[in-house]
This record gives sequence, C-alpha cells and structure tokens, in this order.
Amino acid sequence: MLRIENLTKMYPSLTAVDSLNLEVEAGDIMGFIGPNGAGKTTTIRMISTLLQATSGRIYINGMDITEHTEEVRSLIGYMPDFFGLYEDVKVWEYLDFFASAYKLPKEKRLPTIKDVLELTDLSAKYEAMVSELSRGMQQRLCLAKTILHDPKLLLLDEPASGLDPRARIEICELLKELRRMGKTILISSHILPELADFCNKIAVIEQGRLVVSGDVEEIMRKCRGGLVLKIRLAERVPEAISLLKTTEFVSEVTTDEEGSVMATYIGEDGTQHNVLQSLVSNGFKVIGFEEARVDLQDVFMQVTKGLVS
Amino acid sequence: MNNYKSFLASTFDTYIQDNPIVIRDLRTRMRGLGAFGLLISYLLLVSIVICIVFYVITDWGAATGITATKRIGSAMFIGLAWTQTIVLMIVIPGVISAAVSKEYEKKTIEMVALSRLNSFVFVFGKLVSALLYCLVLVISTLPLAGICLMFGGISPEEIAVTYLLTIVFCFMMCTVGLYLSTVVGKTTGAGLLFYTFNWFYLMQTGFVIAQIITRGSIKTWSALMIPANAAHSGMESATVCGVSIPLAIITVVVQLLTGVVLLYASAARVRHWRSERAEVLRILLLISFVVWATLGLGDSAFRTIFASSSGTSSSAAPMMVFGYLALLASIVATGPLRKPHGQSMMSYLFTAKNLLKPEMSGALTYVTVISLLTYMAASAAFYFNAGSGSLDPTYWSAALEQLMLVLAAVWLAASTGVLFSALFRSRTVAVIMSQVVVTVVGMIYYGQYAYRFLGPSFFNGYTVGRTDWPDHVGIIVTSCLCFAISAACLALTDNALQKFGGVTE
Repeated sequence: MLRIENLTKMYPSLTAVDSLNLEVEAGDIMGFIGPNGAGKTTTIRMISTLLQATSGRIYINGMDITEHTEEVRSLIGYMPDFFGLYEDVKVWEYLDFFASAYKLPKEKRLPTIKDVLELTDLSAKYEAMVSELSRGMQQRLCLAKTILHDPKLLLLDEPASGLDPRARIEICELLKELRRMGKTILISSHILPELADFCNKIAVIEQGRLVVSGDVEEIMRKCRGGLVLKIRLAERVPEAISLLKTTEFVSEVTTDEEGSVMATYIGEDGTQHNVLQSLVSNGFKVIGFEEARVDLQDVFMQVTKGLVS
Repeated sequence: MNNYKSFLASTFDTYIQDNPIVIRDLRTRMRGLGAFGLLISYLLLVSIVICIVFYVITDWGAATGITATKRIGSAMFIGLAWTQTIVLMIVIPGVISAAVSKEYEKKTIEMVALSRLNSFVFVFGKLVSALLYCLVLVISTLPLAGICLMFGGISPEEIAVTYLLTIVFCFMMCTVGLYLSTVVGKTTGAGLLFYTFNWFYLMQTGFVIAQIITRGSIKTWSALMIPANAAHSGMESATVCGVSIPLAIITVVVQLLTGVVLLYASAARVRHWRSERAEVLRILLLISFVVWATLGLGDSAFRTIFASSSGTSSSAAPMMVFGYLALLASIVATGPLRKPHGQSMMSYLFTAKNLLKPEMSGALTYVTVISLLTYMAASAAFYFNAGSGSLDPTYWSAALEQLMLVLAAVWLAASTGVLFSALFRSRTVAVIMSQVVVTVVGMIYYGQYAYRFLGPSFFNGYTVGRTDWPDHVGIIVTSCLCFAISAACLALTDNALQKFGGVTE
C-alpha cells in the first residue's frame, strides 16, 4: 500500500529526513514512533503530498505520488497534529463542505455524513457549531472528515495529543474500529502503550533515520533477545529462579515489581511449554504462565539514544 | 446544442452552484448581524451624502435665484457614485484580504488542498463569494440612483454605464485583494498592502484628472478606472488606431483582463497545490500586455499627455511600458535555477522549448518575446493614431532607439533577477533586490532627463554640471550600460549558484 524509497528532506540548516526506507502492507496498522524532532511529521507530510521531498520516492498503491498527485490524494486521509477547523459553521455544514470538496455525489452526502458522525459518536452534535465542541470532539470531528471519502490509507499524526485520558481512550476505540474496517493506518504517537494495543507493526525513527521497523513482536523479541515469559508462583520463588537459570534455552531470569519471574526464552517459538513442564515436574506451584505483554516503551528506550535532531 | 447546454450547466455547477467554497463563505458571511449592519450603514452613508448634495444645490439655487433642477440630479448622482466608489475601496479589502491568508493562518488550507478541489475552483469560489457581497452593496443603491434620475440631468444610459463600471471595478479590486491575500499569506499584511495600493490607485487617477484639468478637454479611459468618473464622462469616446471606441469599453476590457490575469496568478501561487495553471497565466499575461499597449497607449488622450516636448509621439511608449515590463521581467526571471548538468546557463535561460513553462528555463526568451510584442503593439497604435502625415521625421529612428532601451531595461531586470536567484534562498528577496537595481538605474536615467528639462537653475544648490547630451546619446549610453550589467550578471550566475545554492522553492 505504501512504499518509501530513500526519502530525504533537507532544509538549509538541517536534514529532517535522511534516506528513509519503509513499507506498509495493505491492512497494516503501523505505529510511527520517535522522539520530538525525529522527522515523523515531516515524513507524514511528504507522504500526504503536502511537502516536497528533496530526493527519494514515495509510492501509494503502486503510484508515484509526485506523478499521480491527484489520484493519490483521493486515496489518503490525512489528520495533522495541529489542524484548523472552520469554527463558524455547524458540524454537518463542516462535513458537507468536505463531502462536496471530495466530490461525493449529492445524494450520498447526507447519509455518509450521518454514518461518519455515528462512527465518531458525534450524532448528537449534528446541529452544533464547531466552535462549541470540546477539544476531544473537535479531534473526532477532524477524524470524521478524514474518513469521509473512504480513503484506503490513513495518515494520523499524533491523533491523541492534547487530549484528556477519557478523550484519548475514545480516540483509541475509534482507531480500533477503523482497524476492524480494514483500513491501512500509519499513526505517529507519543502514547506508546496505547499504540501497542492496536499496532501490528512499528517503525522507530531518530534524527531522520529509520532505526528499526517491522512486526511488533518480532522487534520485541530482538530487543529482549528472545521471548519473555511471565511466571507467577505460589511459593519458593528463589528456588524457581535457580532452576530456570539452568533450564535449556532460558537466557536471563529476573523478577518484576509484582514478584513474578520474568524468563527470557531463546528457544523456538512453540516450545516454551518445556519451561512450564520443567517447573511443574520439580514440584513448583505455577499459578500463572504467559508471554509478557508487549511494552513499546521498553523497545523505544532501547532502540533510540534519546537524541533530538 | 445539448452538449453545449450540459457543458454550461456542469461548469456553472462546478464553479458556482456546487462550489463548496462559495457555499461555506456565503453561509458564514451572511450569518449574524455584521453583513446586514454593514449594508444598512452603507446605504445610510450614501443617502446622507445625496441629501447633503441636494440641500447644498437647492440652497445655492435659492441664494442665486437660478432654478437648478437638472444640476441637482446630476450632482446627486455624482455624489452617490463617488461615495459608493470610496466606500467600496474601503470595504473590499475588508471583504477579500482574509480570503486565502486566513486559510493559511488557521491551517485549513492543507485539508482543502488534499481534497479534489483544484486551486482555480478554490480561488474562484473565494472571488465569487466576495464579489456577490459587493454586488449586494452596489445593487442596493439602485433605488437611490432612481431618485437622482427623477431630478433629471442624468440619463439612464449614464447610470447603467456607471453601474457597469462599478461592478467591473469591484471584480478587478477583488482579484487584487485575492492575489495579495494569496501571496502575502498574512491577513494584516495583505490588508495593509491593499489599502496602500488603493491609495496609490486613487493618486494615479488624481494625476490623470490633474492632466485633464491643466491640458483642457482631454478624456481618457484611465480616468474611468475610478468608476465614479463615469458619472460625468462615462459616455465619452477615444480614438484608438483611428477607430472611435467608447472609453467605457476600453476600461471594461482592461479591468476584466487585469482581473482574469490576477485570478490565474492567485490560482498558480496558492500554497499546497501544484501550479498547473502557470502556463495559462503566461499566455494571459502576454495577451493582456499586448491589448493594454494597443488600447491604452493607442488612446489619443494618452498620446497627448505623455508626448515629449520634442514632439516625438513614440516617446510615450517606453515611458509607459518600461516600468511594467521591468517589473514583470524581474518576477518571471527569479526562481529555482534547475539547470541540467552540462547545459550552459545562457542556453538554459534562452531556450525556446519551455517558453510557457513556469520554470526558469526559457525565462529570458519569454520576457524578450513579451517585450517585443508589447512594444510593437504600442508603436503600431501610435503610428495609426497619429497618421503618417503628422509623424515627426525622426519617428522611426526614435522608435528603434526606444525599443533598444526597453529591451535593455527588461534584460537588466531579468538578468539581475537571475543573479539574485543564484545568490539568495528566498525568491521574494531576489525579486525585491532586482526591483531595487531597476529602480536605481531608472532614477539615474530619468534623473538626467529631469535635470535637462528643469534646467540648471533648479539644481543651483548642487555642484552637478549640466550635460547637453541630445536624447539619442542618452538612450544609447543608458542602453549600453544596461546591456553590460546584464552580461556581467549572467556571467556571474553559474559561480554564484555553486557557491550560494540559490532559490530553493
């Protein structure tokens, strides 16, 4: 769906994006993460055709965006980090404006507006003035506008920034719904735990360069050096740790703040039951055995140096 | 016929009826009390002025014992036309200056640019919504014009011509505001610039009127650029290339052409869209310069106003085209220099392949072509207007010298624009610097003219010695100086580009 080849954006005093290569398959939800000033917004703006690249190519649905700008623009839905709204119109008028701008047939405009308002939970605000909406509602309205023309690729730049926890959860729920609808999404965000909930891929960027990209679990495993198993025991934790340290394919054993044992398993995926078997056969009372939850924050801290370009 | 009708219907639908910009702008403009408040204040002001004129004239009639009914109608309508014109010059910047710049400031432009609207539909929508509001203001005063008509002294045709010129004036002014809003990008800056422009616009007309007063019964279309003047001389005609044409028609053509050029220029310059209309803009510029030179400089009134004391009728041509062509040249010949590897700078700038492309490639060919055609149109108009019998014997040699001067001035502006495009990152800085050079050279050139015309007594306080160069020596020396500077600029461009990088976007 999206392919970026050697993308570079240079300004007189800095290189914002440096030879970036990235691929997003149809149906992927890719989290685009990086510290402030890493080049995330610049990259997303170049993909959205609003900013011209100094060099490199971007292909959307197989089309070069510089050659097929008009076609590409109808395929993408872009939600910027800082967006402006026409505040002196009503909610339905705002969406009607964009429905007309996207050349939706006249008879389809009203039903489409009602559909996106329902999806974004703004139906009750149909006749309200845009200026009267809360920040969270405005964010959802902008998202409603972004999906109005049923784009295949959504480019969401910090969609949850500046929102209170409740509004943030609402936006996340909305994004999960979009994932269920089969949209391809490239999303940049600082709220890493929430990204982990619905992203199947991530790309980490720092100083304009891609540090790592790929499947979330794959990267996690690379960072941790294997699969991390979270084991909860009813008793004899120190003895269990000693046993695990001598177990085959277990490279590292620690405990977390709750007292659970965290064992890094470097054996083949699907053979981790051997660890459980070893514990049970040695008489340990295992009350919990699971793969540790993906923690993007750890990945992020590990792969980035905290530099700001 | 059906195809023609459906084409018209779909065009009307795209550009006006289903243009989201028109619908949204009209909704917001007419919502609330502001729009109606302005309309009522406007009508009140015009009515008050008409009442004042009525009482002044009737008082004067009572004092002198002269019954002046006819004078009352005419004077009231002149009062209406002037009030309307001045109020429109104040209102239009307020209505249009924020049109595009506010979209930049609020960052809404990005979302609109990503939709399927093209830049022309966008700026056209902005223009239509502003123009419709101005039309409401203009048409609302028609009943007052009817009252003036009842008093006599003014014909329905004169009222119709005045209103036609007022509407065309609104169109042109709205496109000026639209262009400034697009280019400046800040509402305050665009508004201030527009008010400054309006001031000079009024001053220029004042200059023409002063000429009319001092030189007798000279009637010129440029006086009608202020539509209020149509209230007393809207039915006059001028001889253009030996043909009598109503001044109002010349004014309408010039203003419509200017407006269309500015509309396309706005569409080509609005951010986040590809400037796909730049080629149309170049063709329109060329046409409008030629038409303007033919109609404007062919107008017998202009010939008389600007003819030099030596009696050479062609001298008006470079006077008028010099400034505008140099301004155009310095804009066209500034921008990113994307010269392919291995091509020389001269062949890049003078190639005829990309004559109408919005690139620096072929820029000097374009300014040369437009200068030649404009000068030829102006000279032809003068020739036909003067009639071969009344031409000064030195006409042809003078015309050639002046053509050389025009080309020298245009190349100077263009080549300094090219050099500054290599020296500076910002195109705006390059254009301004190029304009400064052209202005300085122009001041030196016209300074020596002024010195000779005004005589040494005027400069007694200075230690400048008087030169007695005849006209043609001055022209040749100035032209050669301009050509030399141009050549030097172009020779330096390659090195400057390598060292400083030049204009980026």
